Amino acid sequence: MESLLLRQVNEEIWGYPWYWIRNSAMYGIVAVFVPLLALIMANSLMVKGLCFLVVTGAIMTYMFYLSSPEKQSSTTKRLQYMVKAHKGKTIIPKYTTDVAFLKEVVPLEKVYPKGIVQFTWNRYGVLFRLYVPSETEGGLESFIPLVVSNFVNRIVEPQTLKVFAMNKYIQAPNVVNEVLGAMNDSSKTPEQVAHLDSVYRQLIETVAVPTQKHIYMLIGLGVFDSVEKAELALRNLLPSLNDGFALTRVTGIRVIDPNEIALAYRRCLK
Amino acid sequence: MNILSRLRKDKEQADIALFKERMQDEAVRKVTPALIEEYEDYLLIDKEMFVTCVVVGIPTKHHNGFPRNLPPNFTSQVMAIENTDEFLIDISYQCTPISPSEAMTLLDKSMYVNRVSMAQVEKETQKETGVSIHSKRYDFQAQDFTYLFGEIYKNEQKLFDSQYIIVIRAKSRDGLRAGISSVFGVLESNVVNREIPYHRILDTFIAALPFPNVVDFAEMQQLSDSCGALLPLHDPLTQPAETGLIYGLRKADSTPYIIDWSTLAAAHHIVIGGTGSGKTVELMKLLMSGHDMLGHRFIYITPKPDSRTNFLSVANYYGDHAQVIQIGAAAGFQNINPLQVMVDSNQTLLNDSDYISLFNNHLELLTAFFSVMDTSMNMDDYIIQSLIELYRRYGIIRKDVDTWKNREGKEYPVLVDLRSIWKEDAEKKNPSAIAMLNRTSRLETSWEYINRPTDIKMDKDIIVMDLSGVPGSLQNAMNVFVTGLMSLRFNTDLTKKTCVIIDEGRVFLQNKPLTEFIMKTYTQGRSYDMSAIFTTQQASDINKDMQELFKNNSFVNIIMGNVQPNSYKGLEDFFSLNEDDMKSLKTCGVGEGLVQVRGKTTAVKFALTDLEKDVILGDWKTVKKTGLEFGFKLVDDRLKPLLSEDGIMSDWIEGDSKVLGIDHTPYYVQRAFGRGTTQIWIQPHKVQDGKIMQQSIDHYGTVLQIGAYLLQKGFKIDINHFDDADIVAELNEHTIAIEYERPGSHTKSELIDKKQRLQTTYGQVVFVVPNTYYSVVADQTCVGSENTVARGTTLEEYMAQIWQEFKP
Ligand SMILES: Nc1ncnc2c1ncn2[C@@H]1O[C@H](COP(=O)(O)OP(=O)(O)OP(=O)(O)O)[C@@H](O)[C@H]1O
Ligand SMILES: [Mg+2]
Repeated sequence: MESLLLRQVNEEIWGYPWYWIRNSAMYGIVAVFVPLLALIMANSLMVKGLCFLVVTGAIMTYMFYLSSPEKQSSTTKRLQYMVKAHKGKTIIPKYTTDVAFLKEVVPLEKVYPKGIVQFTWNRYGVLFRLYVPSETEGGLESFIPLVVSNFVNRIVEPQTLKVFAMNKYIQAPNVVNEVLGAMNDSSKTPEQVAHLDSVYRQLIETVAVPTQKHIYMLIGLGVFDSVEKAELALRNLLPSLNDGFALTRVTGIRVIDPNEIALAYRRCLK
Repeated sequence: MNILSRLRKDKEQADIALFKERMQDEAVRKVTPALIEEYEDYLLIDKEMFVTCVVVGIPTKHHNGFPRNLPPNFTSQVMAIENTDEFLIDISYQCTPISPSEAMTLLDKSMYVNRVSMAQVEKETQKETGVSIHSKRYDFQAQDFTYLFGEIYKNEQKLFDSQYIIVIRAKSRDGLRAGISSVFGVLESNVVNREIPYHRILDTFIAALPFPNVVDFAEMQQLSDSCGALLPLHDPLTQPAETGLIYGLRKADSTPYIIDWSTLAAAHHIVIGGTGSGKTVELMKLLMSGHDMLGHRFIYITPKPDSRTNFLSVANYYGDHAQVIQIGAAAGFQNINPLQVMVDSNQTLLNDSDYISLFNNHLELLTAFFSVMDTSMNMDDYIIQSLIELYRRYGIIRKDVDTWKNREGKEYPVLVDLRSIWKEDAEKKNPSAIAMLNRTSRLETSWEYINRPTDIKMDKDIIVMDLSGVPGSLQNAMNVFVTGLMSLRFNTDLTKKTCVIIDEGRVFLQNKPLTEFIMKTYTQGRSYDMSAIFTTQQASDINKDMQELFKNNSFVNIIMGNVQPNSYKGLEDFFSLNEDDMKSLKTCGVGEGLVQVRGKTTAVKFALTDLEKDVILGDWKTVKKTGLEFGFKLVDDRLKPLLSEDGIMSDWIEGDSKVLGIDHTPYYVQRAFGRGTTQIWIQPHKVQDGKIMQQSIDHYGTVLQIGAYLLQKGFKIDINHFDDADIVAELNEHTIAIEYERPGSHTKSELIDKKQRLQTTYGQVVFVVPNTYYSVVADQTCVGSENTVARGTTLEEYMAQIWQEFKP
């Protein structure tokens, strides 16, 4: 298994990211070099002292927050967050926030009747509901190559494949509630209730929390200037996808009804 | 004026319509939760769901991201993290292909940068130490790049921009923390790099969902093989919403193994297991659960006495609701006259044609009864003829329902009467009659007892039919008859589903017409409300030509453990067990086995509950009290003494405390331990002017909560609502007085007095106070900090400490 950062490597100089070297240099000039110069040039002791403080402060700040690429990027994130929070953009009440900003957060543009989803920046995609096998013949060792050849390798640029497997608590009555329900049924005799109570006690020690898996797959189709073009791209891709489902024994059902698509996203978001 | 207001109204309505239309169009508004709050390290959605994300597998200077030898089931491991009440785990994986030419350019550049860095390091070390040090790291990296390049160049694999994000959702921040530590546990044991993207949780969360978004800090490049292995397309545990009957616990993970009978075409079972393997025990467990949970009626039929497993004690346990019928020749045993048409008085709903088909079924059942004696087709026909003749002589005409529907006071013919007809016909050289005479000669000797009228009543929900008193030679026929009779009798009952259990059902498994008869009985009329469980000892008991029939009609197969090696092959073939199934079967002992349903085989331990053990394996005497007298169940039986109080905390109740709503009203009160509020349920008439027992509800609730805590820790407590201390708790001969004190109820000097009084009586005293009041009471001029504790988190610590001090 390998994971690489090829795109970043390209921007490295002697193993350090170019942006970090650049930022450090700029910081050095503005926060250290200029005050240092002022320190030397100034003739009032007050100003000198002030400059000295600024320089030490700047160096300390650098050591704490910027001295490595990691520190720098986390500092940047922190600053960005602070700005965002200051602008009140970290609290998003949907009814009073304007749509343009909502779309910056949740990039959903429009759902077309045939189930094509338009995202912001003219990106299009389709959503599938997956039912994945729990026990595969020959185990994972033979299942993974199937996934590789029938899913992964069938996606070509500019398409993208995303699978999101989520868990939800089930509201439906589960066996524990059923036993409790039966116990509360007034027609039961004390013997029955005593037995159910023993069943209940065994259950709560052993039962797993009732959850249900929902697995969604997004096929990003790419950027198009009209939904018709996206539809065409989908039509070209579908046969190969269906084939892939059949060969891997993954059941994939395309979510077409716009309401269902909305429901799926809402479920994912909360 | 009027017109103006109308116009305004119209405009309002138009606005609303426009707004609605816009809402329809704005998918994003539809799907976004009402309120998203983003904090540094988590999101809070609609004030109730906490979310955070973990970015997985990003390589750093010191970490490879993923280890070389990541097990293929890594994603399965993450998926298998057990969801709890506290948190849920979601996985997102995205891959976007990079065109081969771009991929190769990227790699070329990387190889170049790698070489430059290598040279740079060598130069630097040369300068510093005088020798140029060559770091192997760059060699390995170079090898990696070469390998990747090769794969892409040869078109074996593609390169992808990929992103792996784990989302944790929880009901509280503590839940989030628990979730994070579970996830980190799995990641760390696999040496996978991970990071929580502080300050960017919202972006990361959206990038995890099925939107085409990515976040740059989660992006990495991987080959096809890695993508295939990491995609969450395999479910390690598909546990559907489970409700139904509990068979036992899965051997693999000790979770309950449950089958929902209502989802089966029919709940017919076969149970196969050698003697002593636990068949009867499991049958009894199913009977008890099926009766108590599903409310089914059960009829258990066994032809042999069972010295080991006391099925009679199960019937005894249910007392009046169960009935034991012992059929046989001995004195005190009961009898069934096979020729008697069993008509139930509560079956009066039937119309004439139903009665006639009941009679037909009865004739068919008699044929089945005789078929065990190896009858031929001709003989079956003859039996029917002679039966009709016999009934005619007794004035019973099939089509004339009134002649047999209600024969109170009038007699039914018995089998010897049938034999007299056969004797008459034998004299006329009827071969079937002669054959039947030969087969039934014992009717005048050892089977004689069966010529008595039927003297059983079957009106209970649990019926245990013990046929062991029936002479051996008649046992099979009787077994068939009784089974059929029960089935016919109960498949017209509209109110209850009935399950007939035939322990030792070998006779059915070997005789095709019989099996067909029984299956047909079940699938007729109110088809799926009847089910049958057959048990037998060996797969070879089932004849070859019966196997198909059983495979098509048995929807649950149970193969008991403790199998003799010479039975392996038979089981393997009959149940189409694969290698893994066989392996786990061989590890199953007594009381364990495989359960097959819908082609899926699972190893199950038929674990009994405490009470089932007592009842099935022991002799049941009395029903123990369970704390259910109150119509609800306590989380801890030790809380029972508190039920004499006038308030019930919702935390004490198992399940939904709304059951109390019938005659109680909920009030919110502060939690005495920890943060937040909880509910106390009080009967409305007990509350006057917002007070109960002259105390504020908050005060009262706090006292009860402290009381409950102490009881659960094993203290003995006394609660006083008027004078004295609120609670006096005792453990291991140590006592402590606990007093809840609200601002304004006592003056400083009163408090000091009280402290001294309680101290002399009980030794130790503590004043529990609301947070805001702490500084006043804890002041050295008042009762002092050693005698004061604030409600909330510190109270829990304090009480735990007291418990530590007191406990033996
Ligand atoms: N689930 C179980 N839990 C605990 N003990 C069990 C269990 N199942 C079986 N046993 C033990 O094994 C003994 C035999 O079980 P059981 O009578 O059910 O066997 P069987 O298969 O019905 O045998 P037979 O063919 O002789 O009727 C029981 O008396 C009990 O001691
Ligand atoms: Mg038995």
